[in-house]
Amino acid sequence: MRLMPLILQAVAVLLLTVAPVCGQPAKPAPWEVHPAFADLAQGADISPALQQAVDAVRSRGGRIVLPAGTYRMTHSVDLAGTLRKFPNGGPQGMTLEGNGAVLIWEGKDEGAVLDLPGITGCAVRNLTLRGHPSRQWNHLIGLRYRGGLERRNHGGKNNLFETIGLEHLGIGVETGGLFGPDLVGGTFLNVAVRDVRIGFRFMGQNVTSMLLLNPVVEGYRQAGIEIIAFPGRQVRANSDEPRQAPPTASNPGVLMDAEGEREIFQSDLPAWMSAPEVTYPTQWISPPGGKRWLQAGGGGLEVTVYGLRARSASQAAWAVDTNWGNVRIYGGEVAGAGGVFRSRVAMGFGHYTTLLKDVVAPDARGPEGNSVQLLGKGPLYLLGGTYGGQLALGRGAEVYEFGAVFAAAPPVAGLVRRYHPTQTTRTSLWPTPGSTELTVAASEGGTFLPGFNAGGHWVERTSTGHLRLRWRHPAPEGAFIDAVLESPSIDHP
Amino acid sequence: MNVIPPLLSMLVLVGLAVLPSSHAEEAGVVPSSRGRVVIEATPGEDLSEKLQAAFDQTRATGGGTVFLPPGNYVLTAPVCLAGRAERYPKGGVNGVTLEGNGATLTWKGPDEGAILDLPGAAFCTIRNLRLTGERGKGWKNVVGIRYRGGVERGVHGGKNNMFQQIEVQNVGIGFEVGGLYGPDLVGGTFLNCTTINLRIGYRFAGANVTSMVIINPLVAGYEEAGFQILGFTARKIRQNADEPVPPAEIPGAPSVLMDLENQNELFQKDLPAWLTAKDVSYPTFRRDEGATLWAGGGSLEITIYGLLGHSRFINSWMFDTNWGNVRVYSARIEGMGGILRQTAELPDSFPAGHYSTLFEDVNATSLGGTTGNVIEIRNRAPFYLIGGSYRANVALGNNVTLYTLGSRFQTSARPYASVLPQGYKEPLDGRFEKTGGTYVLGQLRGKGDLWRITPVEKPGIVQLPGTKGASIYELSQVTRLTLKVPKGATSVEAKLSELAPQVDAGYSLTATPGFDAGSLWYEGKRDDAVTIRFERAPSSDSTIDVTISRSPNRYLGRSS
Repeated sequence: MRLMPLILQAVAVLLLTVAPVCGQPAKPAPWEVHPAFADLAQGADISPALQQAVDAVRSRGGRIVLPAGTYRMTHSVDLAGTLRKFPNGGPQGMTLEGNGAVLIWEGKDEGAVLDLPGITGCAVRNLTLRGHPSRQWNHLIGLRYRGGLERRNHGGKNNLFETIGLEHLGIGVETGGLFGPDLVGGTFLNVAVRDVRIGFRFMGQNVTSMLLLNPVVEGYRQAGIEIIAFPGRQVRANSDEPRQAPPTASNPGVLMDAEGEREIFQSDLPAWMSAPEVTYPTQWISPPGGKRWLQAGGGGLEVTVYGLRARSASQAAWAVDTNWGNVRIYGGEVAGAGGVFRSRVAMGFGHYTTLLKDVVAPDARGPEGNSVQLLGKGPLYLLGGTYGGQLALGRGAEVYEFGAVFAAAPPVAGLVRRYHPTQTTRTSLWPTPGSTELTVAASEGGTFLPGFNAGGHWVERTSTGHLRLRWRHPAPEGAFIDAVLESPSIDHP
Repeated sequence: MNVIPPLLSMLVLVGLAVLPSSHAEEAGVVPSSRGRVVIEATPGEDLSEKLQAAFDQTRATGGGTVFLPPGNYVLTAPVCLAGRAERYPKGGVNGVTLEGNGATLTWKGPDEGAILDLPGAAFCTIRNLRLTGERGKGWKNVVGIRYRGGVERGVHGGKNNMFQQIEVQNVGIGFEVGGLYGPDLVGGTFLNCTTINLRIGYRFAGANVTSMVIINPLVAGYEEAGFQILGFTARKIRQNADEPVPPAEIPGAPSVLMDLENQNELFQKDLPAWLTAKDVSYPTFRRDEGATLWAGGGSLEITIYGLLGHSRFINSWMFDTNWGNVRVYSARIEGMGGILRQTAELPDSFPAGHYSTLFEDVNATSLGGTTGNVIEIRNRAPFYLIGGSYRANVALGNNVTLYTLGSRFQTSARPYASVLPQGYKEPLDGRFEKTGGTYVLGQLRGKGDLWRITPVEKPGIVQLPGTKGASIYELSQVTRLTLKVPKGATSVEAKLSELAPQVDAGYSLTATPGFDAGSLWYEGKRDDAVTIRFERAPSSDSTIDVTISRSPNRYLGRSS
């Protein structure tokens, strides 16, 4: 009995010491960890549990925290929930916290490991998706961020993909779709793709504000970043329906799959997309006197990349490969044999530009010895950077080049504008009527041509570094003289 | 009697164990581990009190993470990440994260203050959250998230905060950063944030508000400005309205302390006492042997990567600043307002010209807002215009320096109608034709007047009306031709058909004949050809070398 007070006091002291430090044991929130993960052993198939977890939080949003470790996947997981249970709309505000888990795909070479139809405000973080290394994958997609047509949904925005590894896959990330989904805002932060056919694929119209920060794309067999824009395409009822236009190199004329291999007919689409009243993302065209036909919308898209690291052993692969989509790369290193940038389709000027700034690719030569190959008109901005191959341009292509270094031959065709370190100012001078001279500032000289019969003109250099332009016949009223003046550098006023 | 000591011990134990979390143990707030606070709520619930209690808890633990439950909730009172001012009257907030879990918080409080307030915040994060005002309320003033110095707590700085995947809509101002006194806010990263249907998307105010980086923002439906950037000169803080008003350092800039809307003057009695103390030196200071009190001034700059913007308000500007600097790397801006306006012309003595404004690959479809100018620059700090495409003018003020490399100015194939909300004040220098028609404004729930914009016929770089002396350093496209001159001819035509067509004959010529031509001149300069004339014909077939130099940035385009 005499010990009790001492014991109780000791317990009290112990608790007082511990309580403020540890507080209460961590208590998971009901939306945070799904019980399906509780008994999951390392190496188990996580697909069913993960789909259950998604279904559990799909209707209210929330956070799925994967257990750390390595797991198998045999079935695609749909972040919009099981279609049967959630036939409409997309998820909002859902976060998949990978906790560093590695998910190894052992299913078929098709579809997507993680499918993200119509997602908004969602995040996928800290996760590795890997195809089983026993085979080469060609079609399997790691992350697919798309519109979600099967749920009558055709948009998504403001999603974040952060610290993700994608390895041994057909395509690391596929964003967009065949019909111009309204995907606005996708940030890919610290995503590394390795040993794939295509690293990132972006396709469609209105797939915009796609930002890749510090991506790594290595071991791509076909393209590091593939950008596919679409023209308007006919969606035929069947192969008997006449084509509205013959196929060309830039436009197959009819709706094809993303690989351009198989035609897609109306029967392949959700019924609502070919309904009579549909206007988006397909629409019926009714030409006067002609038979109405269904069209899939078209347009361009653009992707922005900061700090690209690309490497491929395949000379046939391109770090960025596009038909006529736009890409802006701010700082990058392209190692290996493949080319840096290729646009395959001759298109006119678009609103948006392609820009390669400070891209270092000393060995990149592509299959034809070109580092950069522009068939479209561009314009292409080349600001700094080093390229091991040529700059090859199609007819009418326009390039603004400022300090880029091409180790091989100079540009082979097209129009290239170089910005010289000497400042050249083009101007018009208005001489006073009746005058026969005027003075201009041009320390490196200038050339002149009068807009009137001056009877001959010449320049004298003054002691102050100015040029005095003189001519014989007095200048008439309203006369002017064209001048190109050169200075050694730009002086800040 | 022997039982009393252990009982006392137990009471002490219970009391002490409870004390540290007494503030947090309010209904629905679960402090599940030190610094980890999970809010439990039912959809539609007013979370103002629970959320504030959660931040009181993290303030008490010196940092931590507050988890919101997914779903839709209501806020009726502002929530301060630094804890309640009455409990924590001093200092800012450090190392607190708000994990929104995709929750939507609908503001049902008054049109004032800030929904989430971060005074003196350092190493804090707000993530995955949607803040919205009630649609149709037309809020003008309430701020979604305010990141500021915190003068009322005797703190005047913050750094390294992260705002990630946040959507703010239907309020007055999405994000407000800085304040009136030049708070020392260093480092704010806004990643993947969206502002929709507000008066102002982002407001940055003050001096030393620096390293603000905005990555991949969507800024849409802004009525007044996508980004408002306000630099300040030193401003006198008067005791009352009787104290004399000093002359302005910059024409048009207030010389006395005004509120952020520049509507009401703030006097010394409106400030915390320490700001008006005799020995104050920062962020207010005294001059004239302590006789007059001033608020500090200076400039600020922000950097944006990958902007997507859209506004249908003609009199709005995506970037509206007095002399603040902005650097934009790649942007797609659609809609009808202007893109960048710098209104202040700084004197040479003003140090704000250290930083430059840079637009790189900014592509805008606007026809130039109310003035026909998509960009108006008056700040003489260099403006760099690299790449990008525009459909209206870039206008430069007195002695402004512009460096441009390959920016394109396209003509538009058609004018387009615009709809202005009722009550819109017609700009004095507007270039609209009012049609007299009306149009139902879907999102504003009202009718607007129908106007028609006349596009700029030949857009390019121009001098602002009433100014002079702007310098443009630009890439020149130089083309050399060799023209054949037949024997006996005294003129030859140089055709420009090989060059990309431009909207005008804005090129210069130089020419050197391959024979004794006497005087040489040109006539009939057109956009597709020019005639070279000379005094004496060649005695046999000869040539003339012609150099054509022109700006590459004015070409015939076509709107899509």
